[in-house]
Amino acid sequence: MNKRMMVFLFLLVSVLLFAGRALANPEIGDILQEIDRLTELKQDGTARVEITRQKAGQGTKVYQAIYYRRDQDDSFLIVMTAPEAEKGNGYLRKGDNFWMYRRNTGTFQQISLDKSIAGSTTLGENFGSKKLFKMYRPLLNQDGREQLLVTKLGEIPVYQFKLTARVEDISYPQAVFWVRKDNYLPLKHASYSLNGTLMQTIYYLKYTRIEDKYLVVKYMIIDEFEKGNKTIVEVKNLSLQALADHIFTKEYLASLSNN
Amino acid sequence: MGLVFLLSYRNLLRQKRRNFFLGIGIGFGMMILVVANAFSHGMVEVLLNDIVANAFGHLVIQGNQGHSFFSMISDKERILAIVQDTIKTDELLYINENLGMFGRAVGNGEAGNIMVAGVTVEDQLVREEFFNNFFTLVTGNFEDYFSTEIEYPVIISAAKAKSLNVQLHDVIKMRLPMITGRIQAVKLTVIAIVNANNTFMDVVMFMDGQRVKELLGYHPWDSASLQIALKDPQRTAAYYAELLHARLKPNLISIIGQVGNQGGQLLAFQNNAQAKQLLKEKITMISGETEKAFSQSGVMVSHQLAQKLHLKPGEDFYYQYQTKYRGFHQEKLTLNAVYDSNTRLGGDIILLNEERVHPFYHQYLPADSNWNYITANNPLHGIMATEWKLLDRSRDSQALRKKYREERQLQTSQPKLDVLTMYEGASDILKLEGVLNSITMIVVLVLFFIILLGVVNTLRMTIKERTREIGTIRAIGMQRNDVRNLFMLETLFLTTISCLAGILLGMIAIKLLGTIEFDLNNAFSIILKNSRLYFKINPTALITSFLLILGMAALAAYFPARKAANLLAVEALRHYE
Repeated sequence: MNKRMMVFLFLLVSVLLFAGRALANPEIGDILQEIDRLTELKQDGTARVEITRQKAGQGTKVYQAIYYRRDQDDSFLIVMTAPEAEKGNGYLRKGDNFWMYRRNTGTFQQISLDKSIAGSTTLGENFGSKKLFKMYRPLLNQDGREQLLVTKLGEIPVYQFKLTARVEDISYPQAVFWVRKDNYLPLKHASYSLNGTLMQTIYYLKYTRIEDKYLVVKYMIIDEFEKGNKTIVEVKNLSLQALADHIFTKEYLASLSNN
Repeated sequence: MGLVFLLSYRNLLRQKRRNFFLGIGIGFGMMILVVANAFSHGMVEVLLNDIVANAFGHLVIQGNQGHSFFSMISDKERILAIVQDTIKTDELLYINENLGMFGRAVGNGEAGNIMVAGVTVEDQLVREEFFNNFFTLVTGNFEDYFSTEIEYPVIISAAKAKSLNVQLHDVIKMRLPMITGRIQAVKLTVIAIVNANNTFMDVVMFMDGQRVKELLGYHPWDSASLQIALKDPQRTAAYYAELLHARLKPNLISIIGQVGNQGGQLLAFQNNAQAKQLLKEKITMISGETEKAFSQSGVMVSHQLAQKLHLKPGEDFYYQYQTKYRGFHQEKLTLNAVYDSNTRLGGDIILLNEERVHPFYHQYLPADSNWNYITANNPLHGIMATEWKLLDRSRDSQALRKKYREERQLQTSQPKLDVLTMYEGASDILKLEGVLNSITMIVVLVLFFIILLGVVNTLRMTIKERTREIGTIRAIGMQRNDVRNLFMLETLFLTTISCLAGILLGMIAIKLLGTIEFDLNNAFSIILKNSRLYFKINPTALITSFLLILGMAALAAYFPARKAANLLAVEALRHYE
């Protein structure tokens, strides 16, 4: 084998290896990190949120709120503006702390992020940036390998994978995600209880692009446990202006609540 | 005096109609007092003994970690040993874990919020009490409660079964939060439908305590709050609460472990500003960042140990130790600062902020500790962190609520232990009895005031009618005191006979009212026992009321009787109507 032939073979093998690697499916961990990166906003955000809750046998109820968000320090503030019974109640997150404010008593109560917002099926943790990589790891099959499926959700090519919780303090210890193949944005997310019962499914219906980041502006949560219950959350009138530090304080929430 | 008694009794019979009506008035008042008193006492008994004592225990050791909704004591064995060592065996009935699952249930097309109470019935005494006194079986078999072949067997009240549209052997799906915050889903099988003896229990389902404990995610060595049932709670609960409070004093945090092959003791300092300031003054930093070292995740190592381990600030190291229940635990720590070993804490020390320690310390309890690494008179003793915070005893429900409200405001992961009796926990109920009795007493006193006006008026009429008779008996030698006593005794005879009749009538009324069955579905139903009003006569209160009425009657009779006694015999004999 002459020198030229050897160089040719080396280049061929290199190209094949590179192409193979490029064509191979990504690691689930990488997908999770990419989702976290894509959904963590650089800027502060202010928006109006509409939560439409449908309960079996109880009809539909619409809740409205003002929503302030700052991902840099994992903060958000929600103050309810409608209906009248909920008006003035609020929620404040600062890092790992999450408080609920009740206007009629004027008191703050520290609660966990998995508590529902205004009695709907949407939880506090749905309003902050995702920390999927910290929360979950891939569920391995019997061979000890990740289970990444390439499939379609409707007409959209997606990766489907199962996750299991890394940490104990997480509402749903098992989850299945369907993320777009082209940009890794989640389209569907099914949550399971510890014994594997399907508890809820979230459909991410609409994203808005902010520079190289994405914010989900409409999603639907189907309660799979109690059939007939669902919640639709819509984020409207999004503004990306910088927010003052004092906004993410208990005092500000209490003052907003009383206005 | 015998003659005065005889005359008083004879005089009482002379005015039969007048005294009869007056007696009816007094008797009626007494009857109301008996019924009202027995009602308030019975209601408190139902609330306290049937609800509070069963749901709460006579004596409770309450444990909480962080802001968790669930109670949690991380070393059941140790706390149980203290309890058993403190309470005399012959005064202790049983110790139970207060296990309850709250969640959403779906039956046959119907859903609702439910609570499932975990009741462990290993003891024969508890078993009989639980099955025989708590419920009346409608359908099913209580023996299935223990079945391992049935998936999560539960006892459900007929009312709850109706609201969830389930029947015997039907399955109820339940969604519940575990102690970690994870969501658990479970299928419960109805093995018995019952009528609960108290409406309060209609909303609760019952399942074996061990299964509830597993579903909630407690480890076998953890415990929910401990309910202690005593034989004579009224006498012993407060005494044992004080004693237990003294014995549950926490030790200083200390873990004997190692980094690699090098042994080292892990200690913790308190996270409050005062403690940190004092510690800063007592130790000298050699290298690293003081600010970070005193932060909530702060880690310091003594100079001596840092040298042995060749550790520098910013580097990670693994501290490992033998745990009491879970084998070896390894904790990754990042060194923030090295301090001079010349303190009274010792040489090979790893010093952490308590907020960094509590989360793993209580999950992985150390097998080896040296709690006495520092003497109580050492100035550092007061700033080192303890295993838990023992809350001060509360005198009543109001103080208890205030204490818990204040504790909730604190941002700490340090567990808390509290010792309380049902009398503090439910002091509002005891107050309710006092308030009800006071209201009853005021109403009855007004009633008696009116009745005693009648007594006074009757006596005045009687004296007027018998003025010449008084003159006669005074003329033949009866003393003034005897005349006064004659009239007073006549009133007291009447009051005594009427009160006794009132008590008898009250008892009959209680019997009759206690047979009426109420079909209530509102808040008032919790004061019913077996759907009926429950009365309990309090003999002390009864005797007190009786003596009070007798005293009032004597006072009312005294002035007219004295007036009669002071009449001059000559004047009285001249009296003519």
